[in-house]
Amino acid sequence: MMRILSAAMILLPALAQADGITAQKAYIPPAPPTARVHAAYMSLHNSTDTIRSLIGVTAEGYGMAHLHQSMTHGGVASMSPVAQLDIPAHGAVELAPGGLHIMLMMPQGVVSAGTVVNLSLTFSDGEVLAVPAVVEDRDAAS
Amino acid sequence: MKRLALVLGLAFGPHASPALAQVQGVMLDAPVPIPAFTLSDQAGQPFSAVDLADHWTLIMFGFNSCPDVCPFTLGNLEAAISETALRVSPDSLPRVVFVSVDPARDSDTVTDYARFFHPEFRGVTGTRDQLDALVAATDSFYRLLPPDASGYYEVQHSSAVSVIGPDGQLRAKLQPPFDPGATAEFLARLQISYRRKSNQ
Repeated sequence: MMRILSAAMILLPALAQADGITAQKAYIPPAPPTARVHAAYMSLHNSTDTIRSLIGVTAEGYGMAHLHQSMTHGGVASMSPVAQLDIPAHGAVELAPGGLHIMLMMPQGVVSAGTVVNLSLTFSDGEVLAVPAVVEDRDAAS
Repeated sequence: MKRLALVLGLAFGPHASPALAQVQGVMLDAPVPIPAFTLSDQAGQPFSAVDLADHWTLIMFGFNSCPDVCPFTLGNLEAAISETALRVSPDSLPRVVFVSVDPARDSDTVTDYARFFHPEFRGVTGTRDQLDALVAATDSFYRLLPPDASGYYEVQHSSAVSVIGPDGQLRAKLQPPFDPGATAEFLARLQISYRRKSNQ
């Protein structure tokens, strides 16, 4: 039974859930092997009646991970760290290319397509959401 | 009610994505000559103004430690080039050059970085004054920010991609989000307009 259960969990990396918060479609675009920094994306849903605030991220296999936002002002692309990301009650927030993203830094190895990176999202109420993010190309020709 | 929704869906379907109508580029009223400059790839092969002659070139400024915008743009350019290949002759297919404005971190990896997105993309960088010459000539911008506690520093840079014509002059700018189909359409129109002007 346990074996079947764990097999089922391996087959379902796209959905992670913790106490009213779900992370859907978590993925990491494949990055050049020499890239020291790349990004993870997902959509975060809050099914509770209160705002939930994401305040920290860690990524297995990386020295550091941060929540960041890319912006383009006056034709110049820049990024800024995001200390707290609020997910509204019964709402959702998209982490997507060109905007909010989890910046993955200091990879301890080459991350190739098909592998799963385990992310841990910490919320202000102390809740920790485990999010498996699969390395795959989803942006091309979208 | 379900039927009504379906009918509305059909009625509004073709107009439901205003993103398709987004402007993907701006053609310059007067082309801008590119002055002499010399950059090089990670193997030391030079890339200079001479390499811009007789074909279309797309120049993107960025840096390898860019987690989000640069990989997204290069991925979209790869898709846009595939789309453009359906619309123009092979000789007219633009060559993509990724110029890192962060030589201190990228001079050994910039070519591999660009090739990851397409085997024919070039990745080059160079000395500060040579980079600045190309940045200024294409009316682009970059700035290295102070490092954080870990030593990582961010680089702000122009989001637009410069389009250089076969005459070696800056002819247009591509704007984000670089939708592949719309960008390809823009590039094909730009080439038609260029040929018309050249034949006058």
